[in-house]
Amino acid sequence: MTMTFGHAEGNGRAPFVPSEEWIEAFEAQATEELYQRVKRYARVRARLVAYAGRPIDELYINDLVQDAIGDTFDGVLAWDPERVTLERHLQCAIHSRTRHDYVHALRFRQERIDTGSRKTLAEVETTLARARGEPEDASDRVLAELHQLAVRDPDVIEMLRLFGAQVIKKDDIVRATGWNTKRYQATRKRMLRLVQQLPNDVREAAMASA
Amino acid sequence: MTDKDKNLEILDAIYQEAALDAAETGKNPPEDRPWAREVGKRVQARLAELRRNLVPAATPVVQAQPIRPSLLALGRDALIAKLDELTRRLGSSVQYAHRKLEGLSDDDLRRLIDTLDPD
Repeated sequence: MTMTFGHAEGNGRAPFVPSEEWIEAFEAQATEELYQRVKRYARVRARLVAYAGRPIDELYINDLVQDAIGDTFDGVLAWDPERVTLERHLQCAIHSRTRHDYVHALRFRQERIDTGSRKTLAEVETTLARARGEPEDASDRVLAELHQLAVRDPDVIEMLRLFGAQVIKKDDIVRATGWNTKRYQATRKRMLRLVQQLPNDVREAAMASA
Repeated sequence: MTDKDKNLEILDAIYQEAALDAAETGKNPPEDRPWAREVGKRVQARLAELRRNLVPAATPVVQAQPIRPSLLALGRDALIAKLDELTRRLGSSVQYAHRKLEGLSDDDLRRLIDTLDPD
């Protein structure tokens, strides 16, 4: 197992020199338990990328965590210990990266298909790729399945609708729906249970070994 | 907002909630333990390096000025007498850390005099 943290070179930036307080805060929070929690977070976020058709494996998940730490050491990702915990900071970094990778994978896939429709050779390549079992965009299927599972749960359907309208934070959802916290928590829990109930071929779509 | 955009928002939010839940309540496969240990070692090494970078660089060594010929000409007794005379003349403004001058070599005495009275 090889890994390095930081030391990004040639990016033209002045080297990041954290304060003693910053180092102490990092050291106090950086435990093996934290790395494992962050990896659990990363493993689930990686599924999102897989739905866009990018093959995901254990190395990708490890990279999500390690790159977040390395970029923090390099100052590429600014961490303010007084404003946010290290765990939340790393989660935010992984959230941004997986969202970016999802969009990128979708675009790459679309370009591949567009090219395929114009060129015979590329068409052949696309067909071969599908025959090799390369993943496709599974997000439509995932959402269709989720709506199917939630058909008798109007609150979950409402939560999904709000997500689509970029109403995501608890406070915003509570404000938009008039639910109390208990009802929000219960709906969230049921929605997560439905995600767990997604058929394996959908839930694990495109996942090589994640 | 296109349907694709909306799908992204929904999936992103779902998997954000699911990921937070996994971080909070989930379990790791056994192989994550050695991985976490390795991450811990690397992080500690990097933190140590960052700490070392905080220590200011060593002050460059300044070479001593040559001793004046007029002081070089004086023997030990003359040097001690000159030091006494300087101490008396300059009064309380003179302070030096050596109570017992026997511990100082002749050249140490010459440099001490030079420091107190550079002219």
